[in-house]
Amino acid sequence: MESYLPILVFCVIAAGFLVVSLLAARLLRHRGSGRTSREPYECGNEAESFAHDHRFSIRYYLIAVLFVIFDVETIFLFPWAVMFDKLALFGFIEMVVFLFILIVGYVYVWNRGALNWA
Amino acid sequence: MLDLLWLVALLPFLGAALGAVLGPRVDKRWTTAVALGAPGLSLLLALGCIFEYVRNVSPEPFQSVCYTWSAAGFDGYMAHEGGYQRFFVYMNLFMGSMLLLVLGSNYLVTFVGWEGVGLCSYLLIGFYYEEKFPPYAGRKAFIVNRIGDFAFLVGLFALVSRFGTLDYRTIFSAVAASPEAMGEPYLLGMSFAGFVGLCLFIGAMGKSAQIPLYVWLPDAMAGPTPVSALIHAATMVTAGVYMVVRSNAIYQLAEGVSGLVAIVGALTAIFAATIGLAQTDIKKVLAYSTVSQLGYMFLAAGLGAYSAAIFHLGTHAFFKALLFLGSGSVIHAMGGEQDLTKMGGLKERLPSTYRTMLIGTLAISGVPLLSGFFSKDQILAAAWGGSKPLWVVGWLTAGLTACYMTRLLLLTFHGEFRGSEEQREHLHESPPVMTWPLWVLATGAVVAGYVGIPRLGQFDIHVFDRFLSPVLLEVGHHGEAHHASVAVELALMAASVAIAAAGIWLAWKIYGAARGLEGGRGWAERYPAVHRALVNKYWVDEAYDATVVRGTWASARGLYRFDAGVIDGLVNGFRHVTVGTSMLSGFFDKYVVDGLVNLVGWLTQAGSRVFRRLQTGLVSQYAMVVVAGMLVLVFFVVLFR
Amino acid sequence: MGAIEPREFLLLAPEIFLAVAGMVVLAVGSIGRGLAHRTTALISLVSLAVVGALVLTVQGPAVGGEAILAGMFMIDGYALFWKGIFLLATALTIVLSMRFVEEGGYPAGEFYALLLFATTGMLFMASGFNLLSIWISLELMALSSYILAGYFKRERRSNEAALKYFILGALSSGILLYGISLLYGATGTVQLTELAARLPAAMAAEGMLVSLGWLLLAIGLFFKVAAVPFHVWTPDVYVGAPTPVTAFLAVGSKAAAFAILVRILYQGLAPLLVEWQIVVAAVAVVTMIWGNLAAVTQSNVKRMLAYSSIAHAGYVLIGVLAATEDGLWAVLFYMLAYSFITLGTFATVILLERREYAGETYADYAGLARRSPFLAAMMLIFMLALTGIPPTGGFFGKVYLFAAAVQSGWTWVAVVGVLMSAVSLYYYMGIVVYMYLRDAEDDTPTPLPSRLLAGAIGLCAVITVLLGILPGPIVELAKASLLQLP
Repeated sequence: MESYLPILVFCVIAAGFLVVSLLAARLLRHRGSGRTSREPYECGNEAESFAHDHRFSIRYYLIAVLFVIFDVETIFLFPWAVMFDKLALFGFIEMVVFLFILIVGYVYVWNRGALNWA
Repeated sequence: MLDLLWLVALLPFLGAALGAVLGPRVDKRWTTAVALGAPGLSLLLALGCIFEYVRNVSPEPFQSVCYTWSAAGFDGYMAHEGGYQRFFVYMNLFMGSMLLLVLGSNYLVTFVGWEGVGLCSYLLIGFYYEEKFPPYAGRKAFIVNRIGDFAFLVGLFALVSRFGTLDYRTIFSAVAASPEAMGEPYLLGMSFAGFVGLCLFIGAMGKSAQIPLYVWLPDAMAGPTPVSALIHAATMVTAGVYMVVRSNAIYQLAEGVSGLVAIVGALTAIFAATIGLAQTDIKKVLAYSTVSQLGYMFLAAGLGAYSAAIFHLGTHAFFKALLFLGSGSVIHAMGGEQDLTKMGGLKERLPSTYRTMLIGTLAISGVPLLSGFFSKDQILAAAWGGSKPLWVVGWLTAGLTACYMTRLLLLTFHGEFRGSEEQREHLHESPPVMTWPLWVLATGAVVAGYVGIPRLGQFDIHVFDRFLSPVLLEVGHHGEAHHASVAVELALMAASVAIAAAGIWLAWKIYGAARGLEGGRGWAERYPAVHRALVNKYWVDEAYDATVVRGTWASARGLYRFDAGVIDGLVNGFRHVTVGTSMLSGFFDKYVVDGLVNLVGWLTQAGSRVFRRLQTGLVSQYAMVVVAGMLVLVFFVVLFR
Repeated sequence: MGAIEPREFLLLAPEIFLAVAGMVVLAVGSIGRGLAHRTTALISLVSLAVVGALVLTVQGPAVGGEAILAGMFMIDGYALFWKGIFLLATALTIVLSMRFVEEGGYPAGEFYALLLFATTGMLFMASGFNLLSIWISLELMALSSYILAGYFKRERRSNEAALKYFILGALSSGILLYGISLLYGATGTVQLTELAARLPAAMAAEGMLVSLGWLLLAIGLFFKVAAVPFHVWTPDVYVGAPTPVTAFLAVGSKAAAFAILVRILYQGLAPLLVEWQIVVAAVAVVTMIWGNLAAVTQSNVKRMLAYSSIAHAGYVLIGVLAATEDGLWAVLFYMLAYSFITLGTFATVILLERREYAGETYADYAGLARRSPFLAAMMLIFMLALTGIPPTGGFFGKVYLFAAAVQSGWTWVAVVGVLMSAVSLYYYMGIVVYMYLRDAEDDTPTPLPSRLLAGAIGLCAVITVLLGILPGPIVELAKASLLQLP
């Protein structure tokens, strides 16, 4: 059971962080109920319109999803780059294959017209 | 040639198959070609075989001739009827089965053919399946035949259990080798030969329409035409006689049963003949006449005069075929009318038919020098040697036969025409395609008898006996009935001729000249009870209906109630349980799993758009089931680990 | 765990080739708009043929069993048999799909590419010898299947099917992965032979962990084979998905899941034989009963077939349960026969579908014998085969399965199987009754839209009957493709 002790400590710290930070925010925040406090951005930027009235184009979601996919895939490049010397040629070939698959996906997306905004 | 014997039986089957495959798609000429070609070839082969090996055969050639010709004659008759192809398919099937029955070298093949002809007879009797009576008659024939077939099968089982084979030669030689063993008590106080003989005879009763199983034959006349009637009257029904004769080795050792055969035959002969006296349907008269003649054959077989039985079978085939075809011609001319009371005076309009039918009538009546005379005389001679009372019965029957046949002829062709004007206009002689078979058969009816002339002056000929000799074994000490001396035989002949003449005279007295129906009516008024009994065929059908048929129905209903109540109840119970459980599980999926969700969805439809999005709750319910199942299994494993 | 040689990659040439082919199809299909239906289908079929040849030539020599890539994959006769089934099933699915894809008006490239990707996953699954490689292969197949189920993206039912399949599939994947992680926690390995070697010790030390681990792993796979109570996704997905995809799910996914279930149970979890046999027995019985009984009340043919496929999973589990050589080859034989029967059935259903979802109820089959005697006869054969009536492959399949169970002492499970087969007669013959004994509303003959499709149906029927008349060669083949038994 001793091996689970760090996990318990971890859980306690996580819960404590939540409680402490929320409590701190509550104690420290400005107590007012003006119009500005109900604005989406309290930093001072004025909202152009209500979100409910404004529809985003479906393309936006498509681009967003594609971005996330390719963005996440690039994460794999970092560990590879770090270990480049150790993985040597084998690693290089593996990464080429990986990028090839990625590029096929990219070509597909392009061909399908998912990147066209018009 | 003999190697090709198997083709004889196969060809008609091929014809039937071809006809069935071609069906009504092809022209009638093709059907006709196939239907006549196959049995025609088969006939040629059979004749070839006979020439090559004269002694190997049974009465087959006569019958083959009959079917083929009748089929040809039928061509004209059938020209304006539906189901042309179907009819010929049945016919070919019938011929094949009949040939199989006769050519089979063991009881099994014979039985297959036996059942085959039974089936075909059912099909042919019920040919007009859209009408009411024919299908009923077909069923009746089939069921009555089944009763006989059952006994036949039992007999075959007994043979197999004793000899381990159904081969004729093996069985008969085994029988001949040890006649004593056959006489030992076997079952129900009978000897083995007696038991088997009785079983086979009951089978023959069904097929050959003997008392008490004869009732189907008159009804079989509901078949489409004289030709199918002819099959039932002149060919198929003789199968029983054939089988008994074929099994003569067994019957020779079973005296009691042989006696029974003779008695049943004699009784049937006179019984049917009396009924024939009063019938007014031309085909029914011929049907009862057939039953009566078959009785003769059994009488002969029962008395050990096997060759006489087969001889009569052969001659009878000729004149009965002739009479049936003639009646067909008459019915054709009358536009489908079969009632004798509506006929009369057809002599002038149907000269060929009249002349040929006259020959047939004389032949069956036993007028000297025609075929029926010779064969009937042989039977009566055998009866004289065997049992005097049976001779008396046979002798009287001969008179009755002459009487009712003459009556038929007179009512049909003499006197005044009694039908409607329309029918009178319609009257015409049949086309040559129907009349030439009549003439050929008439020739046969005249000359066929000479094959069996016992002796001519000093010469002992007995062609027919020799022809059959390999089939007729001498078993034990029983031989064929002794031939009476020449003087006695001549006396018997004279007696036969006298009673035939008396019969003819009587019929003439009643129906002859211009008297027609009036004469008959006078007699009917004089003896009303007799007349009623005869017209109603002694109420046998009614008696059967009241006892056997209703009894069967009653027990069937009882069994049905048991079946419906107890057995179906059980089965249905299982079904209800299955369906019920299925519904429960479907229910669970539909209402508990889906239902919760649907309930939510249903409420939301009436409610807000926001809640509608909770339709995905469907999946969460599913997920819940998965997790629940998982937990159950986890619980299960943890508990029993 | 020696160094990895390039030759070992070469041994995976079929799988690699198929993945590349999938990408090519994807790329080709995306050129232009709505073009290349035929081209992509043709490329896919040809590549499947090439893959088949590669499997035979490259992997064939290793049929005796060769672990490659540090024990990640195993090339053996067992894997080859399953690969044969997968390739045949995919090829037939493509043939079934062609008209559908064309008429649906959706891009064809993605469809075929996804089929090829799913097949790649299945091939890897057949060879998978490490819980992680198995899991990744499974996911490759599953993710492709989710999209395929939603291929008719403008159809609500298709969307619904895809979404349900995806969510529940994710759940099951999670369970599966959780089970794998627990086993890893208890034994420190996910490689099957090592797992089997270390399990006895781990059982002694961390019994509960091991039990939960294998159980969750098995549950994840039960989900994929659609065993009760993890079948809940099946009816909705089968009905909602485009029918060729349904056929693919019913045959391909199910077979692949059985391939790894058997391999994991027999090789990885061999030391736990007694434990898992009881669970498999319980699941098999519940699955057969539930699947068959629920199928009885269905009025939609695809829904009925979904429940029937659940029921068949139960029958196959009987063979798995036996854990004998007889049971194993019975499973292989049965899955092969079942694949052809099911593909043939769905092909017939496809032919009768008029537009997307019409023509799926029993009533739509009324009078089929008159409208299209060929289709009715084919359907009759398939229904007989599904029921397990000779002379069809379904009959011998069931006989072998039940016989194996009886021989290894699981008679009562086999008895349930036989009883439930009798129940199944009711709903399979229901279709036959509609086809042959009910009159159709209109008697216009149903035209055969495609000779190719009709040919595929005929082929399936012929093989179904052949397996019922001459099961010998396939039985021999299956016997030559056995795993080492626990």
